[in-house]
This record gives sequence, structure tokens and C-alpha cells, in this order.
Amino acid sequence: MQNPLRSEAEAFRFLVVVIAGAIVVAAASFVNTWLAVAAAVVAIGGVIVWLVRGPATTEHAPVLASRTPDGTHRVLLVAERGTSGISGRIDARTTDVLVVVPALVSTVKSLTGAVDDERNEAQRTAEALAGDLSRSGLEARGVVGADDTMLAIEDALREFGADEIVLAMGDDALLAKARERFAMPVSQL
Amino acid sequence: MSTHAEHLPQGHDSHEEHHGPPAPHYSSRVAPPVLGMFLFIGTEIMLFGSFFTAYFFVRVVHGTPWPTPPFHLPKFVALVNTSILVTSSFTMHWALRSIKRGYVWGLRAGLLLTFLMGLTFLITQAIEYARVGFNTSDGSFATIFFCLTGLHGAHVFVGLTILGFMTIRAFRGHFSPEHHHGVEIGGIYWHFVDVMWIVVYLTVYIL
Repeated sequence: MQNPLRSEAEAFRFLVVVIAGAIVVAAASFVNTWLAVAAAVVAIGGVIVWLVRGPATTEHAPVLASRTPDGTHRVLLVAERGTSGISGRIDARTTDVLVVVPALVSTVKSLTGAVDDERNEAQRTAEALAGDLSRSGLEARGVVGADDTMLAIEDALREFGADEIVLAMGDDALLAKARERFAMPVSQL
Repeated sequence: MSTHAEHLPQGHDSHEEHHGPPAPHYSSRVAPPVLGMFLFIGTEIMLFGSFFTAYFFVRVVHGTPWPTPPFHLPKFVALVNTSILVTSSFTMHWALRSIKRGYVWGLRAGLLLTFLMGLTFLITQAIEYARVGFNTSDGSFATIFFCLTGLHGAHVFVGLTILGFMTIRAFRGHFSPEHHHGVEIGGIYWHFVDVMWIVVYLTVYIL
């Protein structure tokens, strides 16, 4: 879905679409006023369809990279709720781990703000995974991420310099998307 | 926004403990300034919506002739004025594209042209009001005409004020390819004003 208020470029694109619709309505008005009203209804419907189904923004999201001190290997571990038993599967070079568990919820729950249960469960998963990793000798902490996995990764990278992103989510499409987006190694457990 | 992430730190060289209350849950999906503009334009749509509702009741439910004889609407002048305002959005877009490419004079010229065209639109509308031959007291048609076009004119005036500050800032060198958020937000508002005029023009002058 497009958001014409996201940027000036998108607002301008929306304006161009509205101008096109207005030309159709104005042309129809030369024939008959009611035909113009019908054209306006069709044009409004067309604009709505374009907003909902049109291509997303052409402005690419920033490709995030990060830096870490020598002698450390930091891993951003992204796991889904309920994940467990991963401490033995992390790269042996790893010194620090930030566990991010996105608070994924349905659209309805997201819109209504009924996300408390999912966030609490995500928090428990993040703390449990971080606890396991800490007990195996790593510096680890767990946080709850945004309700969109890519956003959760982006948010986490802004405060945690990582050498590697590890996904524990079993989603190949997400893996491909993350590899395209982030300028660092991305792997899947 | 497209690049607000670029102003944020991308990875620390050391762990920084967070003191005080926990940071609020923050997502980069919508930057706060854009969310503010989103809410503002939402209220604006509702404001215009109330006037369009009045228009609907006067013209469709009540069946008032539009325009009510013996009055006439200056369609040609309004068309020329519409062309001027639409063109101003193109110069606004050109201004922003210029600064994104580091072409500062393109930004300055674009903003100045946008401002001048917006001013021309407003002056032409004021002249149209003076010569249109009816006033707000001449029935519901006249009242709705002045309310809708006047409300939009007020928004153009606000847009011109914003554009004025943007233009002054552009000539003072406040914007760069990395930092031009002020132009971005102002541009969104200006395009919104343009879209609203197209709707007003179609409903008041064409349909």
C-alpha cells in the first residue's frame, strides 16, 4: 500500500494521479453533469485502488551496516516467539549477542493495539534466549522488536553494532529480503 | 521518510548502558514529524469534508441551482488559476529534486517560482472575489462558494507563509542534500493544498 504522506515524492505522485482523474472528470462534464459525477466516482475508486495496490515507494530503505571493535564478534539474533535451544548453534567466534524477538501480531490486533499478550510472550522468549546464551559464556541481552521483522532488525542495528545477523525464524523469503537489505552476513539457524 | 535513518547512529563501538526509564517502543515505520503532518492533514480533510457536506446538502438534497441565476462563475479565470497552482507543485517537486542532487540554485529557483505562483493564485482569487458579482449574503450558493474557496485560500496563505520561510532559508544556505527535511514537509503540505484545490475546482466550477 502506498502512503502519499510518506514523502514529498509520494505526495507529488499522488497529485499527478489526482490531476489525471480530474482531467477525466472535466472531460466528462462537457458531455453531461451526471456523466461527470459518474466519472468522479470511478476516478475516486481508481485512486483508492492505486493507493492500495500500487507499487510501494521507489525510494530505497537505507542499507544498514555497522562497525564493531577488533577482537569481538557481535551477532544480532532474530527469533520468533517460543524459540528455544539455540545456544549451541551460534558461531564459536561470537562474543556478544543481542536477541531480538519481533512482536509479530495480526493486522487487526496491530490496529486495535491489542498487542500486550504477544509483546509479553516475545519478552519472555527474548529473556530466556539471552539467559541461555549468557550461561554459555556470551555477553547477551534480549529485547522485543517492532511488529515487523525487517523494522525490528533496522531498529536493533541502530543501537547494536553487529558483525552478523542470524535469523531463527525458518522463513526463506525473509532471509532473502534481509540479505538484500543489510550490508552484512545474514544466515539462518 | 526515506532517509531519516541516516541521522541515527549505526552501531556503537561499545555497549552503552541505558539509564533512567526504558526507552519508549519506537519504530522507524513513521517518523514523528511525518506522523504529525499525517494527523494534521487528517484534521484538514475532516474540515474540508464538513464544508463539502454542506455543499452536498445545498446542491443535491435541497436542489439549489448551481450557480443560482442570475449569477455566473468565472470558469475560465478559475481554470487559469488552477493551471498556475498545479504548475507550482511541479516547481516545488523540481526544487526538492534539485537539493537532493546538491543543486542549491535549483532549490532556490524552484522555491521562489513556487512562492510567486502561489501568490499569483491568491491575488487572482482576491480579484475574482471582487468582480464575481455576488456576496456571502446572496443565498446558500454564494455562501458555500465563498466558504469552500475561501477555506482553500486560507490554506494557500498558510502554505505561502511556509514557502516564504523555506525560500529565505534556502537562500541562506540552510539546506543540503543530507538535510532538507524542512523542504520535504513543506512540499507535502503544498501538494496537499493543490490536491484540495483540484477537488474544490471540480465540485464548485465544473460539476
